[in-house]
Amino acid sequence: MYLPRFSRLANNLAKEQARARLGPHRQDQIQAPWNFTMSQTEISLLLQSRVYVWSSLLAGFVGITGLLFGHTPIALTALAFALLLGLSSTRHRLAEPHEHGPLAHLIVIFLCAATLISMIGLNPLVEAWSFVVPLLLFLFYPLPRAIRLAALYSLAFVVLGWLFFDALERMQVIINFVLCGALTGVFVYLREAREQALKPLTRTDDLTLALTPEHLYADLEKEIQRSEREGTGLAVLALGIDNENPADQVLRDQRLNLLGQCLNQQLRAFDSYYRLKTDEFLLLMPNTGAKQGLKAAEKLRVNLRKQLSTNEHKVSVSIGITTVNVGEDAAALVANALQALHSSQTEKSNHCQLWTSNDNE
Amino acid sequence: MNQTSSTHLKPHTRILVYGLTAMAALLLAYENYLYGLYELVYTALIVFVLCAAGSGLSWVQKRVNVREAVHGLILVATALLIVSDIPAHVREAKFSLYPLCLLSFLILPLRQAARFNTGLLVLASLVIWNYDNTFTAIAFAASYAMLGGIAMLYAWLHHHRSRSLVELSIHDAGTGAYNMRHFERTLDKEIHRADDSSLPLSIIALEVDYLDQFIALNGQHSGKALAAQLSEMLKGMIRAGDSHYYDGTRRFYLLLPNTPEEGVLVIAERIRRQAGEHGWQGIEHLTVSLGCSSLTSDTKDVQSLISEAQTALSEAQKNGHNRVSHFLH
Repeated sequence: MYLPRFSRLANNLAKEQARARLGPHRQDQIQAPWNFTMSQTEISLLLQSRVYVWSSLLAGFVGITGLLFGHTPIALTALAFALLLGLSSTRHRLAEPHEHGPLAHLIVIFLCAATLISMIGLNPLVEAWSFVVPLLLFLFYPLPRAIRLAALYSLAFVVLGWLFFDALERMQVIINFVLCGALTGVFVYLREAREQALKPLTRTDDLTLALTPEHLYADLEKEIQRSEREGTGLAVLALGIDNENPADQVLRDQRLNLLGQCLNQQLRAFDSYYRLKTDEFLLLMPNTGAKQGLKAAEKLRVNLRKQLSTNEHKVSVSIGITTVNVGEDAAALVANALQALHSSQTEKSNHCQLWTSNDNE
Repeated sequence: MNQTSSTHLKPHTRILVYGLTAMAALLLAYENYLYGLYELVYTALIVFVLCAAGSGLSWVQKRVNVREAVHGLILVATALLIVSDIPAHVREAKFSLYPLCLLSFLILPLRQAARFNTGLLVLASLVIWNYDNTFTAIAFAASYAMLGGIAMLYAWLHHHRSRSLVELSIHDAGTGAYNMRHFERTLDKEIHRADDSSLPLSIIALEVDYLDQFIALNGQHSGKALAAQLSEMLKGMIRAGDSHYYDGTRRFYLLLPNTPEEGVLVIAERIRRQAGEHGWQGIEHLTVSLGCSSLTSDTKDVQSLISEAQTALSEAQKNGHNRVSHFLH
């Protein structure tokens, strides 16, 4: 029932993300059908930044109306909050969803402090925000830390409520707050339960959509058997980024993400790619001999250089190629491909090299 | 295991969250009684009854089919009760609306919950605006929208993860064979590959003969047990590189790369004979019919290859069961 709407939303998000990534000067490259799949992390990050923007707008609105109606302290608090949210909506890391910058800490500290202080002064606007705090904590921090912080915050809230609210309101607020906390706990439990169930099923790396290396050797062994049975070739390509990793992790994540999408689009339906290390990938190309493999690698190298480079940074990749020989097992093939890659990277970057046995010397 | 957890999660969460809310309502009723706010006592008591009913209903729903709309009605009734208290007790009633927002996202489907909360937001803000000042109404609307937005984010991600769970699972739970989604994906890959390498590719569709009569006689459960046994047998018979799939109801499929028309007939015949001689638990004698189809230059897509195998299978069944048939072009 939700399917069409759901995929449309994911598609729109993907387009938006691509636009943000490529910058205004490359907008023309974005075409309508973006049918690559988005990873969990990407979707959740995109939604998070959307929530930031909307919350920021809401808080800003409250701040401005507060000024108009003469509630200056509330208005200033709301405006400061809006500013913080607006600032942090701009940049996110793709790889570690829970690793938020100092701004996220600032938002949480600010919100906690504002709500708790407002309870002492009985400020009717800000205390309502305290219901949001547990949900936000579980969104920002990894589970153990979020539990500790939420428990601490709830304790502070209950104690302050007990001390500063009049008897009539005291229980109303505390009971409703505790109920909200319990319901938040249910939300978090559902999230963790789903994540646990998903874990064994996900075989792909979140950032690049590449397969994870756990199954590499088993899959490669199967492919070797099959190439022997069918008498067809099998090429194994090791691909690495030549340039230094940028110090900026956001940029690095974006580059890897783009690389993964390019690989996803340019390989044939029955090729598969695995992420070995941060910026090294292994590509299995069944039914491909040495000559075809080299040709495919050259094409890939040229295309990737074109796609990954921006105006400021030239990015290039090198590829080591090896094909299956009689009696070679999976481990030997992987080692050979990596050796060819490393020797091509040390000699000259932006280059494809076929593995030959005298490379050993 | 995943199957059970995803079907049981919903009623259990509902029972839990209704129960929590009912408890909180009871506590509130007691507190308000102590302080003599009798209108609020009535509201809290009715909310308690409603939530307890919702909890019981969710429990019953595990066995009996009850209309889903009832949950919507319970929430709407609760919301209206709380809103009706706003004129007399603005602050008290306002605080009770926040948990209701979270509750609705846990109980209703995403879109219904979003609609419910938008309606409630507008209604409550208008009432507050009417009986209190404008700024209180705006402040309430903003904080309620923020809470609702984050709750919706959680609910949306949960919905999305549930979908991925279905998308990513590749095995049929009952038989351990791969499921049909995985069949279509793998077949698509193999067709491309066969096209590229110009090697042959064949598939087989397999069905137990007179399966409907068997199930009518022995019950649905023994049908499932039979499918599991058959899956085990097929797994033992196919070669390395072949794979078998089950559509979850009656039909098995075998995917045989690098297998020409003559080859697939030999394999299908061997499976037919083996099924006839195999010792089955809980059934004396059993035969199967098989329909084969091979990739040719005019069938290049997944659906036509599958429908060819199905045509061949119904041909085999029409010709008297317990036989192998190949699709003729």
